[in-house]
Amino acid sequence: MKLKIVFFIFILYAAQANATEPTHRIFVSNEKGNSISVIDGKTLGVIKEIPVGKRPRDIGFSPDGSELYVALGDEDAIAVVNPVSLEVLRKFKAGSDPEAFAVHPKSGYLFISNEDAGLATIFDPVTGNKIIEIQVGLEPEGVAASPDGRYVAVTSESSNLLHIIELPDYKISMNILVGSRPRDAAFNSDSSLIYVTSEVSGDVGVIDLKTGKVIKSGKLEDKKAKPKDIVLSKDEKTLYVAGGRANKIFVLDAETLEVKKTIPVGKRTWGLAIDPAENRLFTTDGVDSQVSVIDTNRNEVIKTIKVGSFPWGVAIHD
Amino acid sequence: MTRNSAATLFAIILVLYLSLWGKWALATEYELLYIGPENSSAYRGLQQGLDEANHQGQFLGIGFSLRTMEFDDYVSEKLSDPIAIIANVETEELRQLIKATPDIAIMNIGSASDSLRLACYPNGFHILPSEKMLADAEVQWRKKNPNSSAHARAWHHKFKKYAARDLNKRFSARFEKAMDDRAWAGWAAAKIVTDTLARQGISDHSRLLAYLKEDLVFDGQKGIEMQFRETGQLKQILLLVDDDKIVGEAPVLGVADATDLDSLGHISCQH
Repeated sequence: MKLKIVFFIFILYAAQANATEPTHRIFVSNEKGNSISVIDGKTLGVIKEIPVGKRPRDIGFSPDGSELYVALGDEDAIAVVNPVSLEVLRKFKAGSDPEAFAVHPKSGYLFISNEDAGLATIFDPVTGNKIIEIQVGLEPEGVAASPDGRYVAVTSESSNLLHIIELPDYKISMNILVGSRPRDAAFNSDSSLIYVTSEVSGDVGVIDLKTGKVIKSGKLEDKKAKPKDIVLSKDEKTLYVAGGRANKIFVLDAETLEVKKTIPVGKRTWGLAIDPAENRLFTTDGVDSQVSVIDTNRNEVIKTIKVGSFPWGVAIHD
Repeated sequence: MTRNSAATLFAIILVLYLSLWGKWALATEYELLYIGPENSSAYRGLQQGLDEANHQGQFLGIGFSLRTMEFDDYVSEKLSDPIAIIANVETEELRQLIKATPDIAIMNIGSASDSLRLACYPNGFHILPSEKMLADAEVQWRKKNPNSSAHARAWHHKFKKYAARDLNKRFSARFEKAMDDRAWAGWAAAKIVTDTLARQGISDHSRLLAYLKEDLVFDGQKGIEMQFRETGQLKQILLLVDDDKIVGEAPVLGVADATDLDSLGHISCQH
């Protein structure tokens, strides 16, 4: 009996130890460097570059922050990294050519877009088992999970569609035609709206999840703008859009979609991560192999950080 | 009425209701008309584009089919108006078609003739780059590379950027052939028409024509958004190919603004 109690306490302790204290580090995937650059959140200096595998693109954390996942397109796998010890813990097979993914906030499952196969595949990262695969349009790319865990949005670039997968059934409940070559999606905090960027039409669309209709669309009036990542500020008043080969970040009024400001950054900027506590936005500038740090109060670049070759994704451990 | 016959009646009503509902819920079907030979690169591209349109359509409750005819048969038969015609025919045949069906959009995937563009037909949409566009691209290229013997092309099977790699892979997987200019034009014609029909819910051929002319924004898997000029020509980037290798893109950086597609070809009807 005594032994049982000790065991129980041990389990409780172990469960608690599992929720990792945030390190406030910034993790950047380097598509051609085959590595992850780790940036210290205080000094903004690079602590380490971790070799991770072939063609790392999207990156994201488990809901408890204990694991960092990295999609390895040329290994058809997900690498799992310990964000504290910075060791690569394991890899699991994740379907053909995984590019982007979202971590479900409740189950912790990874919803992965497999670009070549035209599939969204769902994996349990703990066991590495495939839960289900869902046929979507051609060249699926951006994936986003709603904060309430009810929806997962997937964009298919060559079919110009935004698919809404609804849980717990894992069924597509809505298919919405959006701008040309949709690349990324972001939900608002109450999971009622989705913002979508489209690369070729150079616009941002807002979709009302109740009706499944595009309620607003705004064009970034810059011919070179190839919008990719999109993030919403914590107060939900501002959208930040990575402008790709326009080499700038577009700051939009989230309500009107008007461009309030553009912030010049490095070449071919794609990845974005926002740190509301520190009022900072991090961008990956692929061709310049650097990360730009933007002060979101002033909307100005305060620092650029050299990272590995062709940075793609960025995520903050907080 | 006995309990049994009531149940039977209910079942019949249910079956009727479901089958009717099924009809309504079934896809909106569009039929496109192709005029030209079936054994051609352009036709294979068109089939690829239609496949992709039906892949998109399954998510939207829309289906597309293709009716094919040779030019001579089309001229002799009187058909009800198709929503759009995709034509892979010679220059003079195309001119006849355009004139014979003035309120139907004719997608030209067979002729690069400048004369068709300069005629500024309101219903002619030219997907292949014109002779002048190809020549301008080569002139730009030679300003920077005087000794190069590269030629301008609309497409190349080794093109990888802007997700061209994905399209080349899909095409060669299906046909075991390399995707060339005409195959790309066929694919693009199908995608332009079907994406517009899906997006706008257009069922009328003259409305489709007006939309293509004024509002089209097309992703041709060549990076920059494409639109039709008032001449009916589809603006697009071109590739410079030397010895089966892509050596550059036009507009040529340093000679022209890379996003200024109007540096290639005749841009207006004022001449």
